[in-house]
Amino acid sequence: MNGMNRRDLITKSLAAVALFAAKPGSILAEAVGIKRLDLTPTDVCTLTCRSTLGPCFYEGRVARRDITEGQGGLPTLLSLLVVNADTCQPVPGAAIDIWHANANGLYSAPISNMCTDGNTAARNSTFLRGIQTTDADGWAHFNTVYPGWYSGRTPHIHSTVRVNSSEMVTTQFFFPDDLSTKIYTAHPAYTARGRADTTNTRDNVIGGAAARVTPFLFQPKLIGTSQLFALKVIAIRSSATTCNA
Amino acid sequence: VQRLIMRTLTFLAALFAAEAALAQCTNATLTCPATIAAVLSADDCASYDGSRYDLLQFSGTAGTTLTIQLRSSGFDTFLGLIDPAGVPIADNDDVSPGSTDSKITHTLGASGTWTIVANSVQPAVVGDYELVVSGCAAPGPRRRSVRH
Repeated sequence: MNGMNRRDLITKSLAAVALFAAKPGSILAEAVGIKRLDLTPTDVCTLTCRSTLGPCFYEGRVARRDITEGQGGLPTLLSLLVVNADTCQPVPGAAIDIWHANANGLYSAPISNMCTDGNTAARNSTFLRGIQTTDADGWAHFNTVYPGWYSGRTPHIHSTVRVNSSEMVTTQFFFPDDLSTKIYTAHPAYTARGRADTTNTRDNVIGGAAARVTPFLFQPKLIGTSQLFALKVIAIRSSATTCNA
Repeated sequence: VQRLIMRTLTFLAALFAAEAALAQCTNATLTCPATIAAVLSADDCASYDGSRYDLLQFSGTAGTTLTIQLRSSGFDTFLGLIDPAGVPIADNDDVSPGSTDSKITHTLGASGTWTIVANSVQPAVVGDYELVVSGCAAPGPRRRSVRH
């Protein structure tokens, strides 16, 4: 705790906490212990393996943080940290391209009907697609909604990472099954369709042993059933040293 | 028309649900600037991952650049910020590779009630924390351009 002793803290707390009725304040001890980058402690710098691009990619390349275009759903902040798998250092300037389905399981853009279900409004939109470039600390953020499901696939988000226009990895990220179930059965934008018909282990892309999907799971912070903060580390190398999911 | 009504009802239901959830877990209303000492405890609201969180609200003015710091020696902190429309807008795990404390610097995009999420990275941990909100001065009035 820098620049503040206990007396200061008590004084400031008493002054500032007039409305802080539910929880009395208490004092912090001095910070001790070994600090580390611990977003995902065991695998933060393990190379992120590639997965199929899929048929729903669209060469839109729209640079924007808010990709919702008014789509309904659970407001979700995706926070993605790109690191170098060899040095474990953040990678600034990496372009992250993401795309995913809406609450009804439809993709946008004039692509295959299997992605849009032939929905004209979806075909004429570019919702839930966008690119952001990582900042000096390696982070990029997207405001979106939780993806809906469609038959045969577990809920997922596609991503391609490029550095200096060179593709580093194209892959897909997933959510824990019980998180999806909680959202699909509680949030009004999803309840009409109910729970997904495919779990992570039964998915036709990442399915199999549960351990197979673990490196691709977001770390979710669900606030009630109203907001989701979802974090993920993407560790990259040159395209010559990729691995497959 | 029917679809429009359904969408409106769905939106309103989501809005009410969001407000209810925020109300249930909100522990304080802050007056910026603020320094708060508090505790994350087992009876706080729980995120999906089993981590506990407090929600702290403040009234913010569009254009204000705030710094929010969450510090604890008892647990690894996670900090979130939700805008007046209920959209999660910023988050931070570690302020730097050498610290497990959290910090957000953000220019408010709208006026209204903003919500800070004080949370732990790991599930089921509890402990004391300090939250500091600073940089609260609202931006000055815009100069009106005069056309000559």
